[in-house]
Amino acid sequence: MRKTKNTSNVLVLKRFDNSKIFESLNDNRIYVFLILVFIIMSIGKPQFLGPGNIVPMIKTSLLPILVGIGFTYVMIGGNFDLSVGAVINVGACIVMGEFNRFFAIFGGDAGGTKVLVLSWVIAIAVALAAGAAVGLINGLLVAKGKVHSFIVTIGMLTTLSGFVYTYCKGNTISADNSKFVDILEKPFLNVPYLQVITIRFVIVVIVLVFFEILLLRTKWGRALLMVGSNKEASWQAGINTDKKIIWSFVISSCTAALAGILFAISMNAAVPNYGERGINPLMLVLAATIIGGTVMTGGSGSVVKTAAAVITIQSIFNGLIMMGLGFDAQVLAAGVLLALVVIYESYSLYKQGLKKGERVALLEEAAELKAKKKIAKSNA
Amino acid sequence: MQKKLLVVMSVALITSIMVSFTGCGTKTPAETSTAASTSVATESSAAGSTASSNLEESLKIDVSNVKGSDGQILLKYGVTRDVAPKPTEKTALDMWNIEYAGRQTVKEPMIASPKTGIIGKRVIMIQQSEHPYWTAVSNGAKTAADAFKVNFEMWNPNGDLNQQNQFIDKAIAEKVDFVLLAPLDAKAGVQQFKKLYDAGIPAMPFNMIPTDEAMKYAVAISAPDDFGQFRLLAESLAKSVNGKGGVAYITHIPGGSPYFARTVSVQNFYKEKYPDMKTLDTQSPGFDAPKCKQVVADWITRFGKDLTCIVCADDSAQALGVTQALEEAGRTDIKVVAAGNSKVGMDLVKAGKVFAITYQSAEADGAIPMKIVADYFNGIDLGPNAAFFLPQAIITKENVDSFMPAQW
Amino acid sequence: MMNVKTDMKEDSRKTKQNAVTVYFTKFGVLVMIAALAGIGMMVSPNFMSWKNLLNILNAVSYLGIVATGISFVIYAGQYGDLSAPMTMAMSGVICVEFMRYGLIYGIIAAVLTGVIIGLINGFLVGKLKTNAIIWTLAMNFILEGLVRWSYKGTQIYPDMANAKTYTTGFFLPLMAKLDPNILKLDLKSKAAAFNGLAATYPLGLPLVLFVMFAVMIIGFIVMSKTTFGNQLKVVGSSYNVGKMSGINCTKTIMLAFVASSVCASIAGIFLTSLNQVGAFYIGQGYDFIAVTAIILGGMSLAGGRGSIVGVFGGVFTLGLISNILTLFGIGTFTQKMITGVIFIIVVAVNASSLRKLGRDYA
Repeated sequence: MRKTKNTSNVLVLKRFDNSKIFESLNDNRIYVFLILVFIIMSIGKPQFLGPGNIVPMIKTSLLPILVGIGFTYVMIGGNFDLSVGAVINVGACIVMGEFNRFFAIFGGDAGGTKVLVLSWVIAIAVALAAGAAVGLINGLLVAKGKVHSFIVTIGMLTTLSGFVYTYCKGNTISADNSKFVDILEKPFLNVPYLQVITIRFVIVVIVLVFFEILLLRTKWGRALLMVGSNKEASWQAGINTDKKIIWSFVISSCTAALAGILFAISMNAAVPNYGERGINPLMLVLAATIIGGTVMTGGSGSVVKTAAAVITIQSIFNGLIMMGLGFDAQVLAAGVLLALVVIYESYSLYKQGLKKGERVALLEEAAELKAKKKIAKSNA
Repeated sequence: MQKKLLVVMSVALITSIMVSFTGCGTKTPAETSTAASTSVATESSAAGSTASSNLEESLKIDVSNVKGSDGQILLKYGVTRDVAPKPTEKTALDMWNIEYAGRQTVKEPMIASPKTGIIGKRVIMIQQSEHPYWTAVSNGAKTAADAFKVNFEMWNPNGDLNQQNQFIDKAIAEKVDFVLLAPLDAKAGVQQFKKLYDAGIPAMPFNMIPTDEAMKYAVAISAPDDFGQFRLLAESLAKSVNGKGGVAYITHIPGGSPYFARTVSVQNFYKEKYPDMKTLDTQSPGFDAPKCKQVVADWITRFGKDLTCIVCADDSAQALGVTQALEEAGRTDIKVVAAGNSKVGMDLVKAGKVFAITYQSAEADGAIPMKIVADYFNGIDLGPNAAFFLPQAIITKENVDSFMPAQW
Repeated sequence: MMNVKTDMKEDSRKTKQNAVTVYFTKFGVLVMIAALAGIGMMVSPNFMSWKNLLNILNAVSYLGIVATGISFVIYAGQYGDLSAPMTMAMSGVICVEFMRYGLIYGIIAAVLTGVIIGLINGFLVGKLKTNAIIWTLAMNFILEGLVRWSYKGTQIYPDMANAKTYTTGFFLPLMAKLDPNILKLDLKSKAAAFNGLAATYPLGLPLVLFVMFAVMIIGFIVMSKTTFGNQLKVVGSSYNVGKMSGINCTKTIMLAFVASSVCASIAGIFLTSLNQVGAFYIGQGYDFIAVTAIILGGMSLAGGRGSIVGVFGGVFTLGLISNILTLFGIGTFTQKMITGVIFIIVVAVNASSLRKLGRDYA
């Protein structure tokens, strides 16, 4: 009795494994989620699809999308980077602090546009360099020091959040000249829906596309994917695994710092404790990366899918708020979605684990034999 | 088969969850927000409420008897202190700028009131975070909105600055009539108010005053007078120890205006008026009771008999940690003062463990801005630098009973 | 002993043994405590007094209880339990709800909550092998949503018993429906008993300190003296070896998660009692600090290495650092920075010394 059930399962599974539609649907499930959420929300609240709602929502997603790029890279390499939340603040505070410093050194408002641009360029470079330095330390400790990434980045998180407060002495820093802010946030076209296209948006899209291509279309990216899926094998294959992992951490910290920089400039204020209340951007990005289909143990993933997951989560939040529900419903929905994805992933892996070693051909034979016997019996 | 089933099941589950949420939203709109109170002109008001004027009807509304859940009269302004002369010295000037932000601002030409009456206007309140204090603020705001028959919504970004910016963009896109904004950060408020001003939407800060720069674009101020209250509190503390002692401070999150009002301003006040009240140490252990407890225990070890007063920025977790540490060390002689009037704080005052706390009515914090909005739409001239503060009081063991039950 | 030596000779890896590495692997966190104590004595003459040491212990006792629980999860080779904060908050809230029938019922209900959360976590992680960090994060979201959802943004005070109190909460509306008399229940004495949990001083010491030691001693015995502890060690160091040697891995990991959640529940009850209010924000931040303390105490995220004594050491070290820096007069945020740096250095040295001795590769 049991055997027949088993074999039928195997047969059905086999048929489905071959089904390309199902496979590609499963691979791209985040887009299905996204569309589904959009449909449900717009049925619940038709205003959901209005430009007045979509544009602000996408603007809000820009920060976690940028952070998600690096986070996905690190997770593809088989590690975690919990320090990104603090790096956002490091990037934000340093860019504002250094701008004010250099702006004053170069002579302030009297210097004209040249000084302004120069100060911004230097400040952004310093902030990005600070991010890169953090990533380098993380990466060295993980790759060369062989300390678990979870531990290293928790330590880094504590250190950096202390550092940021000491750097800005607990105050919010804003730039002494806010001209650049208006340029960064001004839409190119004043058309509904296209208002979202600002310089900040363009930067994020360029970075996103660049890292997607780097990951999926270049030798370097394929090597990183391989390191994530099997470190030993890729080392044997002649890949410098340590270097790859260090780079993934540097990319992570740099994108997080960039996210902080853009966020701070767009508001003309850098807050030392962004993310300490409400849903931590770290937690949001972690959830989005998983929901976006990056494998928890590394070796597979895509930054565009992470970005889509960020937008999915943001639309759920946004839609629930429109329906008049509070933070409780949002956090619950995020939790349930994450839990479903995690359970689904693990359950399919678990099933594979059970199937491992089974020889399908033999089971088919057994089923045929049994069927024959049954026919023989009924004939008799 | 199972894979497919699982996908179908999860999709069905998500759908059902969403649908159930939708259901909740339509069934009980008053629970969380969308308090489309006693609907007068709900749907039509979204775009053009200027169409019909209900000024006379609006002016007739009498709110002098609306009371909060603690029995205090809700819609009553407190004392607005005069602006102190501007100091010249740098640090003093910085403090002055925080304390009197918006009081002497040279404003941009203000968006004129349509003078069509408050009834049915669409007013959005953008709050700071979801916390029992803010629940009480919401209750107060709802009470006032019901009294004024406002089409009123509350949006809560739950402490996320990014989300708060999204709400502001949304309010602009939906062309609401008025925005009440509790900025999450004083300096970030500049861009927020500027955006609203540029879009032609009148707005004002409540609960927290942003920088002077931001006040250029805001109609008025409504806030608790943290600075004034804390000076009163500091004065009563100093008098109770005859102006002599060692004070240690537990701060709010550094950088915010509560930090300056509840710690730095007290220190300056003592420096000026009671030079014998010495500052021993300042720490920011946050709002975790065990951590505050440890800090105080460390202080007792470090300063011994020199420590005679502790000033806390919060009267629940912080004050509890502090008082427990004092009890354990047998140092009940040390006097503690704190901010806010949560139930925990009032119980501590009643038990004599905390010497005094400030009265900061959470419900009035939400209700008074609504009164100002009503005045604005009813065509009452607010004046160029209008500032309205919440009623002030210092709660001690003698008068604590009149403030019960607590609002949160 | 001889065996070890010959093994070392045959080992082709370089095994440099300098004094630091040897001390570190032998005494681990004790070295650090001794060093910190030395600094402390230089800073303040009062440092070594009983009172000060007790203060330090007292302040970290809540953390100690949580850390003991989470250490079981880490020992089992799962990275940690991020659902601890909301488990604490939820247990506190449930305890307040049920203490109106008597304190003991409140505690039982709260611990049961912990058991259920632990079982769910354990099943998902043990049976389906989900990643512990991500699953417990999802769990934390769900629990936070539930607590906030059912309380509608308010908080619950032990002594509040008006009609409004019974409109929100997990079981309160049900209680009011089943037994209308409950509204008239006088909660003064019961609330006093509940609030007294964190303010009772048997033998002149806070009760929570005794609880921490009790939890740690039980944890120590379970982890190093029982069959379950041995099984946990095997499963923690290698899941497959554990499976092959006939251990019920699912059950073992489930029990580890139950231990973690129950400890979080106990800490949650005490923390709620200390705060005199049940709310969603009780216990925030305890997850990462607990992991920090555990790792500082020499436990390895790879699983199977470390002991509860080390956890105690780690927790105590965190308290010591904070105490000494406050005695120095250093501000909170600089303290945070220094703690982080110390943590990273200690962990890096620990990992490298273990590798140099050839005792670990992760």
